[in-house]
Amino acid sequence: MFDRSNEILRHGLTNKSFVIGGVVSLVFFLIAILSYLWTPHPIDNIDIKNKLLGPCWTYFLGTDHFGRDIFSMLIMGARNSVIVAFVAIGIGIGIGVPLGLVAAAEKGWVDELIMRFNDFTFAFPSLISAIMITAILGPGAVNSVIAIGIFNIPVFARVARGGALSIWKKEFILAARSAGKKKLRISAEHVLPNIFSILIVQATIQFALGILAEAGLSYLGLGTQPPAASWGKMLNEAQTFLHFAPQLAIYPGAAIALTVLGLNLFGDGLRDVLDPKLRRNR
Amino acid sequence: MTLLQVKNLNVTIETPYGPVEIVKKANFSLDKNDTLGIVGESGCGKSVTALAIMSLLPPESIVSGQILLEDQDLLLLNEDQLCNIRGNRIGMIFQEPMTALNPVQTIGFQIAETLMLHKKLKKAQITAQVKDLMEKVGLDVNRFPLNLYPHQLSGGQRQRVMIAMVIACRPDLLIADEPTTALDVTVQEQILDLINDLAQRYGMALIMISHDLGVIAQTTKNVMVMYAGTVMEKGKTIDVFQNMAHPYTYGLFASIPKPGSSRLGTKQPLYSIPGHVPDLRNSFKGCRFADRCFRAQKQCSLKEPSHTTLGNGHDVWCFHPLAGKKDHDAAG
Repeated sequence: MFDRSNEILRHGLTNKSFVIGGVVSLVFFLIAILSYLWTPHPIDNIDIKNKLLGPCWTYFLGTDHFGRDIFSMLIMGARNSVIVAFVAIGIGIGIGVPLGLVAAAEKGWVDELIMRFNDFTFAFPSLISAIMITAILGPGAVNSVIAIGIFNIPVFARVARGGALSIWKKEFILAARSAGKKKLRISAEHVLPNIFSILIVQATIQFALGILAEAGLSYLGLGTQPPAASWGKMLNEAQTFLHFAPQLAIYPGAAIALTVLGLNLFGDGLRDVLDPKLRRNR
Repeated sequence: MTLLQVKNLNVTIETPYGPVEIVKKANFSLDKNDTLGIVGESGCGKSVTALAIMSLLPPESIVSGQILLEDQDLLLLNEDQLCNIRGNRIGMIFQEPMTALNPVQTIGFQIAETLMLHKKLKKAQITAQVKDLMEKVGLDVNRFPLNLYPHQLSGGQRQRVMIAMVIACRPDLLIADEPTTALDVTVQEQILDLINDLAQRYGMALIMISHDLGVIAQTTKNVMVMYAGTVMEKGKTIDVFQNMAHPYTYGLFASIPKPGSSRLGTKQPLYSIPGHVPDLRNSFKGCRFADRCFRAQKQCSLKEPSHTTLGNGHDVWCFHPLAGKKDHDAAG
């Protein structure tokens, strides 16, 4: 295995999107971790005398209409995005992957039932359904995470099922069955390790989508609630001041765009690196 | 004592073109510690018969008849009961050691699998047994640590790992489905010896499936010749090989290149059975070999041949079997 990870890294370094996306994503994660150790100012520190300041030495990126430090809020927003996206992916993988594996292992009506239910969930545009779910459950960070997580379930179920079906045709599965292994155990011990790479690639893509969805929900006031910071909420609040303080919208907007771009590039690059067939074409 | 008895085994697979009879009316039995070879060309139903015994055929196949392991009919068992039999009482060695091992699991894990499933042992005991099994199949644990992955081994070494997996629980019946076809000849010899040796040492009955008559001669006491899903001839290996009665068996033997036959000036072209294997989607009224048979007569393609007993357990399904030396010479 050691040779393989070395090899992946070597090929990875020649892949531009892998490198650029990886660096951007890494910076994003480091900033999110940084929020636990240090922010220039507490984000609920209201300094109304100094509202709507431009960049200065005390406030690196200036202040908003309550006089809160924008830079600190961006850092806390990064943390918020990471947590929401991680938990949502956790829900998607935790429920979706087992469903996909069971569908591929059992085939027949079990497969039909799981996949048709998947299609049903998939048929709704995810953001609109997330709005619906948060509207039912009530706005809040936890509910928005659940809503985004639910939309990750069919994605992971599909990817897992597709990968698993091709693995089930392999002879080593027949060998495992002839040793007396039950289907579910084969799924866990033989199929899952073989579809790991496609799940990881899908996870990076869903991560970016999760950040986007969280920003969207918070923008609409359905996600993270004040005083917690979220990039989407910052955009929402900046809306009123767009004419005389456009920087309030530009900073969080740029943060969202850059992060999502970085993660998508990373996911794309990772797929090329992990899939030897695509690699040769580059 | 009879270990395995297969009675009237039929395997039919539903296809878009209608049902296809892949195995038809197969009957055979196997005693404890005994060996049986199943020989025939590709697609004759050898592997399907083996998979039917394991109950591992794809779900769209319909299996009828009886497969008795001692007194238990395997076809009547549910999946859980079958899981207790597979690996524990019947083990199967596959053809391609390259693909029959999981590339992302260590060989140690894969050998331990069968033990973990069927024996209640502590972790340390399992590790000890796995090491013991590695030694038994001729892999030195010092050279081949348990945390190796299949791609780090050669084909022959992988087949040894596969054998270790299969014999871990000392099954009563070992099925080897072309275990040496993917290996080169020198390794083939070693693997066959290993399988034979282990089967004898642990009292496992052996079903050896092969298209190679040499492999069958070397490893089995009984043989069954299959063609297009039907049994053509069966009996003691020595009887069948020396006094083959079915024209198909005769054709198989005639198709073996004889060393030196062209160099010594006789320059006879290598014999081959005329025609090709019939499409199993067709329906057959008579003998499935009739089209290609040099002894076929009208009746052969109209009626299914019943079996003729030649004594000493030597049976042949043919209307016009070759009988004795005179016929053999005439056919040649």
